[in-house]
Amino acid sequence: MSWVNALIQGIFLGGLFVLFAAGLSLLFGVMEVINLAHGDIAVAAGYLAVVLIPILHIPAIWIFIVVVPIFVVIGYLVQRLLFQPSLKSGSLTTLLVTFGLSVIIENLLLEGFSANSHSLSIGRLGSGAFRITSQLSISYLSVTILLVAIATIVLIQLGLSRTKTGRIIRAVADDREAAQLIGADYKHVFGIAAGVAFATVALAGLALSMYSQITPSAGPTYLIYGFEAVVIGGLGSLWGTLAGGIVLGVAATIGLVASANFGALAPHLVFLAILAIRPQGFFPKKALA
Amino acid sequence: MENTPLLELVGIVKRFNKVSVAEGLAFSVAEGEAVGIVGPNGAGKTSLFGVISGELRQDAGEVRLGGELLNKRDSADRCRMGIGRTHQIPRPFQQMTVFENVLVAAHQGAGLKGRSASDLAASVLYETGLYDVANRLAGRLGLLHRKRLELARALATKPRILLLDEVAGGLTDPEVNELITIVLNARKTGMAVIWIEHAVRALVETVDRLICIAGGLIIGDGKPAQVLAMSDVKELFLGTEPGEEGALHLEHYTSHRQSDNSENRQGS
Repeated sequence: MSWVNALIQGIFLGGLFVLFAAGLSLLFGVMEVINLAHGDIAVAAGYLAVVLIPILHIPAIWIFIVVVPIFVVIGYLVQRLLFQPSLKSGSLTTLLVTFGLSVIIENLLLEGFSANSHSLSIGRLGSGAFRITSQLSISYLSVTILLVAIATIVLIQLGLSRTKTGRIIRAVADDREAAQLIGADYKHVFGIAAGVAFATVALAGLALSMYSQITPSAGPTYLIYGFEAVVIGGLGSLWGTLAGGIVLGVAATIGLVASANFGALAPHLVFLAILAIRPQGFFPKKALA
Repeated sequence: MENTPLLELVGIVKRFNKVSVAEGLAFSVAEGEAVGIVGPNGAGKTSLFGVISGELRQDAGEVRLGGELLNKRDSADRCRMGIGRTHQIPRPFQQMTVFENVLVAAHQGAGLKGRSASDLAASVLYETGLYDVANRLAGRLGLLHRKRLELARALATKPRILLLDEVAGGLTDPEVNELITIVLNARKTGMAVIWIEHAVRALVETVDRLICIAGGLIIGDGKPAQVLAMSDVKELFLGTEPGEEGALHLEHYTSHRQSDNSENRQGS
């Protein structure tokens, strides 16, 4: 029974990884930016919530209403002011810029909040659970996170395929110069895509700080999970990212059942195995579609 | 008589290393006028389009649209101001449908929203004979359809002036005729056209005026028949149809004009 339990808990844990991966997938798919600061940005969103909740007197679960829009704006500005200028000098420069951003964020958080861990307390939603059987219960929060993750992927996918903004994002991702020749301001389009990516990563950070704890140095750990989910799923495919995140979540919880120390290692081993067998991922795609 | 021309080029200079593709080029195009451009490979025809559309920065000179200086405007701005262009090698958005390709152009270039954008897209698809393949992925189209889509996408930006770069290249005669019909119909709305084409026949049937460029200089400008009769131009084409043989002679000509013999990789 504990294996079934692990499998089901893993699917829900996967939701958290999916949230981390969605923004990475989008940033890479649209502007081929590999954002090494992604995990740190999520953690920063968590800390922003830690600061804002006592000031605004909002229940922690609703803080995303404030934090997510702030991160949309930050995402747009970071893209226009930081990533965009570096794109001209090649992808390696962009990689270095995001790495630098990662270091800066971690150190600022360390300076501001010390190395102690923080978490967001959300009361009953955090402690309550659906009891399926005597041995299997799923916390309300896990269910919420998975639903939010699925909703995020579905909304991004629908937005990309059905809306005016989504279509131009796909056009720019496909051929930037041709898109300019039909009048698209690609820098603005990149900014919007980054805004959406930052919104999803803010959700990931909030989910993490409700589900577990955050420390200033927690970012890179989750960055790795995010990358692995993106690669397992197939670069540029959001549905693949959803599948990839869930595979990693299941690997983590099943690994944990096998041995207490194996939980952290198992997802990476699964990732390596999939990379060896199917390096293009589950749903490889050339561009967003 | 002193109307502002729609498009005005003054003293355009553009060099790639030592190869000059424009040496003080100057001409203007009036509202609704159709101008053909001919010249040997490497004469700078495509580079000239790049300078007009904003993809290339000229080393000197001015580009004006309706009197407004464009030098500081990027290609997206220029498109929204009314310069549409097609590429010699079509560049559709491969992962999008034919309809979506044209729709984004109507959104971004023509600045339309909602229903009016999709109406424009649909009518452009109808005019360009792409209506039946509207829902196909652009990456799956054959050459003729790709060429048409390239044209359709430019038309959907509602250009005041359309730059056509060898849209007829690689097509059979009946296919070229269909394209000519499309361009002639599009002109009825008062749109100006500059058309680069090796197939001189297609040009002569469509344009009001012909410009011949060689070695970065204009060597002929006037009515198509007059320009083709000029001795400098004749020397380029040697009175033949511009087939393979003609092209050979053209290259011979450019190497005479330029002290530097190196092939220009830019135009074609």
